Amino acid sequence: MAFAFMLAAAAFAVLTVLALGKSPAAPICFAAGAYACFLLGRLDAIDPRPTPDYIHSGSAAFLSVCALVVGRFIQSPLAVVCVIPLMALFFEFYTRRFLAIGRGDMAVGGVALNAIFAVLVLFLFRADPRFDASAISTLFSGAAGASIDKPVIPAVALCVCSALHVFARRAAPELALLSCGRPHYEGAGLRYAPAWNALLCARGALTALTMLSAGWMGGAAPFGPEPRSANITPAQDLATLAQYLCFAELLLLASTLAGPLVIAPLWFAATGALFVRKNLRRIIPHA
Amino acid sequence: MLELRGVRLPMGAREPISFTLETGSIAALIGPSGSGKSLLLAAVARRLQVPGDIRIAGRPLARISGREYPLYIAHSDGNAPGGGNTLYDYLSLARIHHKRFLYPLAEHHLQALESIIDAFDLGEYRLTPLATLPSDALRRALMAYSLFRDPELLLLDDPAAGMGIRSLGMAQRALARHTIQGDRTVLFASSDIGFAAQTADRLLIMEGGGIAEDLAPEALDADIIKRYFKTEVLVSRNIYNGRPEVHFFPGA
Repeated sequence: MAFAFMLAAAAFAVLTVLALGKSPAAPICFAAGAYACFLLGRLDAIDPRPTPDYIHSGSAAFLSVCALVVGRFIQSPLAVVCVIPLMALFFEFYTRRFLAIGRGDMAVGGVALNAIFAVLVLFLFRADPRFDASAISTLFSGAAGASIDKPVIPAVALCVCSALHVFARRAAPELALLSCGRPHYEGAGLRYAPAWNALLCARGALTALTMLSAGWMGGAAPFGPEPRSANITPAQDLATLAQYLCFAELLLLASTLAGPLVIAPLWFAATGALFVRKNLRRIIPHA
Repeated sequence: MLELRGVRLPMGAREPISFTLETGSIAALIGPSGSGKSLLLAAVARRLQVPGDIRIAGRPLARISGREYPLYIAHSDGNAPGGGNTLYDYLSLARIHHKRFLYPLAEHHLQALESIIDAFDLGEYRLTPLATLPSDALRRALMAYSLFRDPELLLLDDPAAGMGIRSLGMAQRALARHTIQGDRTVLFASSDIGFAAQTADRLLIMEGGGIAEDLAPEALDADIIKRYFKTEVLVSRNIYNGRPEVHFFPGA
């Protein structure tokens, strides 16, 4: 199963590069973004206070607004690349440590942030003749994928994601204990606050990597949320990762063929499919 | 094993709390709701800062380092843990302080884990997420976790709450086995006077944040219960061990 998805992902990537003339960096960049998004899902499994994904929480909209503002006033791609990780960390620490809001409140806030982003984009389209509409396409499909030509940087990001993944698997017991909450973690002689801060930093870094490499596309994968368990078998882990990679490469192919804005209907379709999958028993009681 | 001198809970008791628990003993804190049982356990577990001197194995509590802590103390507040761990995964986390970072748990710990699963008859729930366990099995799992940590001092907050009669028997036997070698000590708070009297070697009755009575379980009678719990009960004696059993008057 995992092997078939990996093969399909490779086939989509090759097709994108050879038949559509994209740079080889693009599929690798997308793979890194999908990998980061997959790891974000895994972090949720060990999070004592899980949150919605980076699109539903409003993190993607907040980072997009930051990128638009920085791009507008500083007009340097490097500044955008530097600001997004900083703002991602700020978002994580502000919402989850200082405000300490729960899953439901974050989802409601996410709707508001997404609405603000949509209104801002509409306003810029209508009111600002100098507004470059391709900036939105770039945000949707990942700023790094659009601007990096050499595959070395995304390949390094992919390797960093792999290393993080291996680390998370080896440290699964410690991470699983973190998910049990503060009394359990400290009762085992481990320090909760540094671990919690490290978790928020990891979330911020992975969100930034996802946004830079795959834009909003990472959140379009119709595979999460999964059972909240830190001890997922390697086979399950690999299968899910392969699905993420396959879907990301398929999205890249589709967006190359039909333009990045095709992601929006695909995102709605994928979210709808996920909703039906998770609520099949409620929709059809005897299914 | 455990010494408390001049400990004052934030409840304004007139007398500070002072008592000593010998190694190998099982002591129960009983008392009406709000008398300070859970607070005292939290203070001994270092989750609540209180004035006074608390020593474990002769060492001041504050001097026990984070690494040494799990070897000395395990505290269960009776709350279900978060996360989506299965029962087996959850229990295997209890000995995490015995393993090196990034290395798996040693084989003998995994064998001990099987024994504790058998002792609490939790085998059928091995792969069940904790969140979906029946409440009785969850209570057994929480106690199994604390016992599997194998600390010198085990602190349990109302371990009998929500347990069925079979689980109560298992819990009682497990606590007795835990202390049978004489090198482990248990202090638990209980709202179930019957369970406390049948399980503990010593009863500490709390009232208003202080220790009002320190007595052997055999000394518990209806008058003492009426004095501190403001309720009329009938106390009979267990024919096997002579310990008190508490009954309510019908219709009272």
